[in-house]
Amino acid sequence: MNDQHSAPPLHTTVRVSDPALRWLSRALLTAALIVMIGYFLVYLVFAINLMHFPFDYDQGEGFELVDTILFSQGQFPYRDTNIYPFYSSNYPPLFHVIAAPFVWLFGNAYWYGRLLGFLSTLITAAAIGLAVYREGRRPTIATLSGLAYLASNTIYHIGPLFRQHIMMVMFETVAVVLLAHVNEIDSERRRRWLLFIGLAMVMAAGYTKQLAVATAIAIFVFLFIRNPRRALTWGVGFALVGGGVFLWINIATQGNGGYKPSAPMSTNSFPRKQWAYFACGLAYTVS
Amino acid sequence: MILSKRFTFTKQQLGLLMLIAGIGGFIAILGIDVIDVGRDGGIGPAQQIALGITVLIALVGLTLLPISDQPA
Repeated sequence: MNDQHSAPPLHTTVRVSDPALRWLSRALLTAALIVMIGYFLVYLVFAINLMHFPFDYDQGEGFELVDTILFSQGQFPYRDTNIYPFYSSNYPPLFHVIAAPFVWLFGNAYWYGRLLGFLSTLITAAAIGLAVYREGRRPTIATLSGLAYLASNTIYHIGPLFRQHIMMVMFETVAVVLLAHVNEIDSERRRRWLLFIGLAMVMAAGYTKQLAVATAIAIFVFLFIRNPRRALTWGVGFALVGGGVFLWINIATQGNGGYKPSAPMSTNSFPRKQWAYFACGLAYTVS
Repeated sequence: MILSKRFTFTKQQLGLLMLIAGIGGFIAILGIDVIDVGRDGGIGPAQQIALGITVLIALVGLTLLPISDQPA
């Protein structure tokens, strides 16, 4: 059993001594930097253009806006789908709660949700850059790493949308960056604060989108390997707070916030008129 | 001891855990067909992927076994 507290340093810095190689290294890094800045400018222009586009650009944006409007009116979007207007959301509330004040100020629009998504990608890129700099102390490599995230096709596609996924990624990334070396901090007070903020970020990610459960599991496995006692203690607190919020939402929405699955339309009877429409549509399609 | 304030797993201990989890998982996934006798289709694609993952976990665990004194 290993009863020690500190892990060895994780990074080693390789210095190029040959002047020609050093020059080549700088030239290649500069070229890469120019390419990545180019990608970023394209992303920036796309994001600004999208914020000016007044209609939904992605199939899910309308749902996100409706959820945000409902939260801005002090209502939950977790409703019974058997009752008019037959609407229910299956996403957690945080992203929409953050966007709700924009509804009060600017009314119903897509631009502020897209702005939040875009800003989330910038914060994530900064967190990645910070993590890389912390490990290697190489500012150019750190900048390239952050820009590489923004240059990704996926980020370009979903970053500036009124969707909550990218904000979840932001919270997850910040959490991982904060918690990566938390067990090596000697000051108990500082370690506790970082654990608290890091786990709050995990919680925020989970209440932004449920997919964050994978990151939460990975983080707690990591914390357990590094210090089982600390992981269990904080894990119990995390589960109590997370479970408490879930129960509160569930009780406040009469079970529509999680426990009671949304009743699918197929459980209702299929009216005769609907059969007639269906038959007409089928006949039209076949002809 | 595991719950002491300064305990941390070594790479060797982590490797052992991964080896046990990999072998245990492999047996459990194969066990689905033994317990649920009469299932059609044999070992399906999801099972094959899961078996591959358990083998990978066990192999990574094996590589960690020789490293005894470093924290995981």
